Amino acid sequence: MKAVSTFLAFGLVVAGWFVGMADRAVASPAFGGDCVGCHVKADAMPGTHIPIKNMTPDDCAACHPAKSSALPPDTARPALLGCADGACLVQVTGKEQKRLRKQSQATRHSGGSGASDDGGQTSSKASGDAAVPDSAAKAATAVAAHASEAPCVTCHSDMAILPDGHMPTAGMSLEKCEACHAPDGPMSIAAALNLDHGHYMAGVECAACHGDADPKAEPDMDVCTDCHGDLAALAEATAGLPDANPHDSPHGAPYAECSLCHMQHEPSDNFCATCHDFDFTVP
Amino acid sequence: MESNDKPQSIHQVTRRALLGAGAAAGASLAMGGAAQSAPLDVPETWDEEVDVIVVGTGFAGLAAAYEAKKAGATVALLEKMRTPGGNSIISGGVIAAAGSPLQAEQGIEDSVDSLYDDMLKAGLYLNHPKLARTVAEKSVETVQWTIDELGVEYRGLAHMGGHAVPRSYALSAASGSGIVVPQLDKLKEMGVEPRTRTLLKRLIRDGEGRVKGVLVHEKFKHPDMESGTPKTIKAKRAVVMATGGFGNDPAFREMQDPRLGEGLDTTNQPGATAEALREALDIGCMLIQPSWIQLGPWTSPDERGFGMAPHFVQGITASYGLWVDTKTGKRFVNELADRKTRADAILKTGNPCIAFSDSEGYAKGTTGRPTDNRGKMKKAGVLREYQSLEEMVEDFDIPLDELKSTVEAFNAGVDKGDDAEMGRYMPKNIGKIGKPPFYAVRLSPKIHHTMGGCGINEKAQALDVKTGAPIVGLYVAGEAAGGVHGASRLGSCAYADCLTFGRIAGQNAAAEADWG
Repeated sequence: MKAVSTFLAFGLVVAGWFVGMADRAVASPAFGGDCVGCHVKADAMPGTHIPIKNMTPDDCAACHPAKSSALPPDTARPALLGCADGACLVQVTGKEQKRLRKQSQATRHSGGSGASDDGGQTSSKASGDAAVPDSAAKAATAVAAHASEAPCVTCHSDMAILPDGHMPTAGMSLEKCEACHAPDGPMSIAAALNLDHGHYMAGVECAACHGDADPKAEPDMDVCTDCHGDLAALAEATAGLPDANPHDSPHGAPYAECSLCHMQHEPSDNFCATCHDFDFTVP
Repeated sequence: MESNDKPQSIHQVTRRALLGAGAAAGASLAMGGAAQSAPLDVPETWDEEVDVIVVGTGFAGLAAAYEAKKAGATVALLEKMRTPGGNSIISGGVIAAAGSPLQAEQGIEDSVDSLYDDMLKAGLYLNHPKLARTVAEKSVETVQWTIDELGVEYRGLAHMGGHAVPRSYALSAASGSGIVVPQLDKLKEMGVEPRTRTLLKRLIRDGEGRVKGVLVHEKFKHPDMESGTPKTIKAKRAVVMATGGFGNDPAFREMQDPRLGEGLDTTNQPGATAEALREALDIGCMLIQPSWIQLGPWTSPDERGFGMAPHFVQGITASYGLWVDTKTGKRFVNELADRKTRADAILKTGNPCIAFSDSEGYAKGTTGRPTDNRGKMKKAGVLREYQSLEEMVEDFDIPLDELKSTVEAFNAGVDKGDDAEMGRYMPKNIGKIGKPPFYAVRLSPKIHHTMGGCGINEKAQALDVKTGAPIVGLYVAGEAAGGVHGASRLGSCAYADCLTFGRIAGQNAAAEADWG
């Protein structure tokens, strides 16, 4: 299940996101490095940053939510995605994103730990270049660029789509949402969020799949495979799952659509479970 | 289906505008699709036209599409689910062929008559003789066709229950995908691809009784019968209905056999529902023998659906092991009897039955299989492993002495080459049961195949309910048709039926006169 989460990610940012969304096993903060080991030096910090001398990792995490947070990444306050060999993985854009992704993969392949197994980032044996097409890198860039524009209140300030009796949310900050809906708390809404939330909050907005047409029509499957790779690449990425490989069924599925299992605007569905008790958590 | 009874929604009114095919079709949509039985007028204009429309992408539909395309017809191949293949692609992987080359190699004598007799015996002689005989006569030709034209690979012969001799070609893939995928590949080469999520909503039959086309819903979302966008497709020559059975349609099932409603597990895929059959009835097809609904005897209560158990229970224990009633420690049925006999026998005991084998039987029954699911079955709690019979007896609370004498009696029969107790067929490599570890699966029959369906003739033409004459422009093949198997179908005869009648339907559909 962890591998499924992982391969689906666009890159590290979104990987952290989906894992965070789908799996509440990782408590914040998830990184293990001592921030001030590196960041006490002035050139390792943005000029406007507050002094951090003597800060603990927990102090850092108070402003920089760890990767498991349900908060969308914020370019103003980069999320800490993990600590690999002393290198802090934060949310960044463009080339830096690619470099960090490669660095992280290299670390994983060499047996290092970019995140705990519970976080799911280490378990996919094929999370390397074969399974992550170039378009994924583009998507990751897009994610970073758009992420800060998609907090909950973008949609959920509208009372009409909130449950009856919910307090007004107009102008609410993410921290305020999390005060009640802490990702690992009893009122967590992470599990109730469909994939569309993961996409949207990661910067993949409606038009990225649906175009500008109104009313919105169901997109072709290319929209999925352009970012996530084709069935063969996905099969490679999920080859290590214990019960069976959902993308390489012995029943053959050369024409299977992604939406056989993976839904955007409703909960996903494990189609294998029609006949088999395979324990997949379908992203 | 419940969803058919939904009141008219705003959605449906909107579709009228989308359809753009005239008031006739629009009016019927505004009535909520097929809420009531009422004919749909032939539209003045069609959204698309082809020679042959094939509905369904199991063995029968794909065989029909292949033959129609090969004969030069343009083909629209429709599939309502998100993935093609229906029950066929998840089925067990065996096809009957009487008097085959593999049998000759192994010195097994067989004949068309022998297969035909077995089919009628299991079918309680309710089989329509011409249909059953067509399947038996063409069985070798059909298997040969899969090899020669599709490149299908087989690993050997299996002995399915109710057959006089081993005559079932077992797919190397150990699943119906071993035929469905080559069918899909071949069709793709020919330029025909399945249109998934395209629901057959209405068959369109004109005042003279000819079937002229269909109304479909594209982007259909199973099981919401009102979902998707309507579209009309004209069939200049014919429509082939290869829409499968209704094993996964509790409401329709219960109408035919009140004992088999909601709450019973089935081996069928979720799309094995009756709406296409209902539509066929609505335009005047003859419904035959729908109450004969088959339970598979080789399924386990410890997993869902078909699962993994049947390969062990049928492939291993039916030939090399024993089935016992745990209350008595005794056998209760010939393990190679037909499905109905065995399922009825299990139900009669009240379900406390197990199928077991020893390690040698396990090895013999799995020879040539591409994968061994032993580990997976054990992990899932479906298959249990024991180091001794005593251990097994303790787990299931079987009387030990009774079980031992059951095994001894069977082993004595192995020496004589004769199963005196049940008269079971003894394969040449049969051995005594006794070498640990022992493996066991609990038995619980599940709904598997619906014998009834549209009445057809041996040309696969649908028959009119009033006249009994063929309905021009409509063919039905596979599980959607009734009559081939009578009361109960023999294992591996569905493949032979579906492929044989699918091909016949496709050939005849392409040869039908073009009505314009």
